[in-house]
Amino acid sequence: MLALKILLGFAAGIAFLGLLDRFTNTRSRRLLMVSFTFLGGLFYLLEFVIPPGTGFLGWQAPNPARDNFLSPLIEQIGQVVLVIGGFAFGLGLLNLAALHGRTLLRGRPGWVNSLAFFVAMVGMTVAGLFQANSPTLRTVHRLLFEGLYQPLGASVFSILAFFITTAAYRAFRIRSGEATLMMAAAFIVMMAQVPMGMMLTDWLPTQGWLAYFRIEQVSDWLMTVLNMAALRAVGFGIGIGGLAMSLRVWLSLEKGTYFGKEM
Amino acid sequence: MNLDLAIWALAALSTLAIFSILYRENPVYRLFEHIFIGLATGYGISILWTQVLLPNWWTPMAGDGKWPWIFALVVGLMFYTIYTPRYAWMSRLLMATLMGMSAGIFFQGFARLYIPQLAASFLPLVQPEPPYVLFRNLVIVVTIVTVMTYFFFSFEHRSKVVRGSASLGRWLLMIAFGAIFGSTVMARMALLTYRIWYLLQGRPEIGT
Amino acid sequence: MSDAITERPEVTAQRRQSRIIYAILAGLMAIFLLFELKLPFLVGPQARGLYEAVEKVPAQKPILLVLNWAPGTYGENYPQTEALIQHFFLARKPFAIFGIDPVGPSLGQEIAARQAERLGRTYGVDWVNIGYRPLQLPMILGMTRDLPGTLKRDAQGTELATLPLMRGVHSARDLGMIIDVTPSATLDIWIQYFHGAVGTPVGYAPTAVMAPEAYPYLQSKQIVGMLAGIKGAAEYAALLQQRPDASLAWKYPPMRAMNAVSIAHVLIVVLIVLGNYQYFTRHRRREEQA
Repeated sequence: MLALKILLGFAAGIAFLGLLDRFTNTRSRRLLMVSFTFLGGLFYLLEFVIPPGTGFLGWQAPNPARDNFLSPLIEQIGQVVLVIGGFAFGLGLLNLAALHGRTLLRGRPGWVNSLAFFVAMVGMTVAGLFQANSPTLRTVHRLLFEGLYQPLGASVFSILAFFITTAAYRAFRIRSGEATLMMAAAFIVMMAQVPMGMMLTDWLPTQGWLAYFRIEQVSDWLMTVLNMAALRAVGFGIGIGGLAMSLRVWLSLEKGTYFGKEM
Repeated sequence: MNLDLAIWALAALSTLAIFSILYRENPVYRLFEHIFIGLATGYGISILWTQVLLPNWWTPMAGDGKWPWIFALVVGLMFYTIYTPRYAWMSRLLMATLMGMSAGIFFQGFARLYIPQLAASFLPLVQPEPPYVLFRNLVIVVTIVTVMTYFFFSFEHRSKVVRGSASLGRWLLMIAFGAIFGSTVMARMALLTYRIWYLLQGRPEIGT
Repeated sequence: MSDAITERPEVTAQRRQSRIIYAILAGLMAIFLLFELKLPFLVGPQARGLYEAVEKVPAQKPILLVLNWAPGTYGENYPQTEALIQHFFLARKPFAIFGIDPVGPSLGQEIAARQAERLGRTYGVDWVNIGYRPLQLPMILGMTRDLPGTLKRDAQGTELATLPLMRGVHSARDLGMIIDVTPSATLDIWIQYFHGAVGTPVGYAPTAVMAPEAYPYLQSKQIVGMLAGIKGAAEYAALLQQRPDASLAWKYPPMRAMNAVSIAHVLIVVLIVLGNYQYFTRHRRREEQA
């Protein structure tokens, strides 16, 4: 009976989407999109600004000291969005599968790598999903996760250290006053972070006015005063930009290749 | 063979396969790179099902009898209409709704994130604070104002005061970039240190 | 491959030079990892601030340990996580592992299970692993109001409400602290919706790359402390060692790593100086010839 309800519900949902596609045109679809975007944002904005204890048509939140009539919906909507967001994972998966599937099926150069991709993906999926019921799969999962996935991930990012070292030799040129200032700050911060750097001024006392010239103190001052202030200013710019962008998205004012597409 | 030792051997082989790119581009590196992407994808699928969809969607729907959860799948499938030109508008409808929700939530967060920052920027510049505190506060306020001036692109910097302020802001920004560079070097070196440590010291004792 | 293509001599020379530099870097790091050196090391105020904030967390309010890292940043986030978890167990601060990255909670599970076995701590009472949830702002907002209702179960599928540690937790107000161990810019979420909304203290353990951007939040007291990369983990380890009940075990000791990172920094500085010296000498020679 439950299975039937689920199937009927699914069919009804698909049918509804089909009808929606059939009986809407470009203009009404655009109106739908603008409305849903606005309502989605309006809900959270109202929930934020409506004072606690406010009811609606006689209905009150269970905890009126903290919540208004919209607040109980936050948790439920959060749950639903969590599940819907989970379904989006398949988009990336489909793209990867299509890309590597084409290479494999057409025998293009590198098809061995695409085969390795599919074998690894299927192996990890099966081991991950069924390891609770099978000691063999638990072993396979450990081999794949600890023996391959973790070291491969760590190694891919660790080779950056080699590249930054050669870049230090070849590319970091002190050609201007600004570059000199930047390198000086970098030198102080780099050396203050490590024990060998701390040794440079370890001979200075840890108390008294001379202590302020210890490299870790100079670095700390650079970080907590100059760096902090500069990045705060940058942060204000980013925040105002983000607010403006959010307003544009909420009010569907944004134009561009994605937002302006035909519906 | 001892499982821990086998894992270490496989991990060491994987590390050396990735490091082989440092010598030159080679097929071993490409193979292991693709294996990594496959493993990451497979891991994402298994975790998504076991920790997100199974407890939050499948169990309530099929286990607890809450059949209306099937509509979440219908809505989720709207994402996939992006692959069909005819029905792609449905994916945009869903994405737009989620973006609208995020925009609404952002307004809440904006005030809570930036108003304390703004308040903390108004520092005392006159006594009764000690002189070194006043100096530090002055440096902070001057740095914030001049760096913000540098980023004002809405109008031309004609006045000498504005140009000078923006120029000072650019110099002070260099110090922040230097600090970021110094931190970046440490971050990268730390990642490499771990891999080398693992190759040298990470081998489990045979018999443990 | 490249053998079929004739390389220009200067490219071959550059490649050879790169390989020499790579070998020097790897060799120096290996030497400093193999041989332990006791070098001076001072704990900074940011790490100390986090340590003291954890000590002040009431025993009945669990800490939410958010692990958003993956194997790519193992070298920094692993020792940070290990240091924090050992502190929680030693100081008897119950904590819940959570993540908006699929791998983070699994990596935290391994550390917590190993340390719990060593120190005799119990799952469900001293620690839980809530697991992974995809990052969705509506979900985060739901967590602040009804954490067990939004997240429902732990990583093993057990209902959160049945676990002793989570019984007193209804909303964000019932959390003692949130600590975000992350290589990404996720700090804003916890500040905006937890600290900003209900005043939950927030701690931060980023990779060193992200650390400079957190100083504005430290100054405005929106975060209580920070572990900046591997250095932060080493500072935390130094503080833990001073505890009277210090019983520590490291899979990857952060202090040993700091010595290797030290020599790498020295090498970088030497290479920058050498590179600039060669550049300016060649530049001056060219100017003289011209």
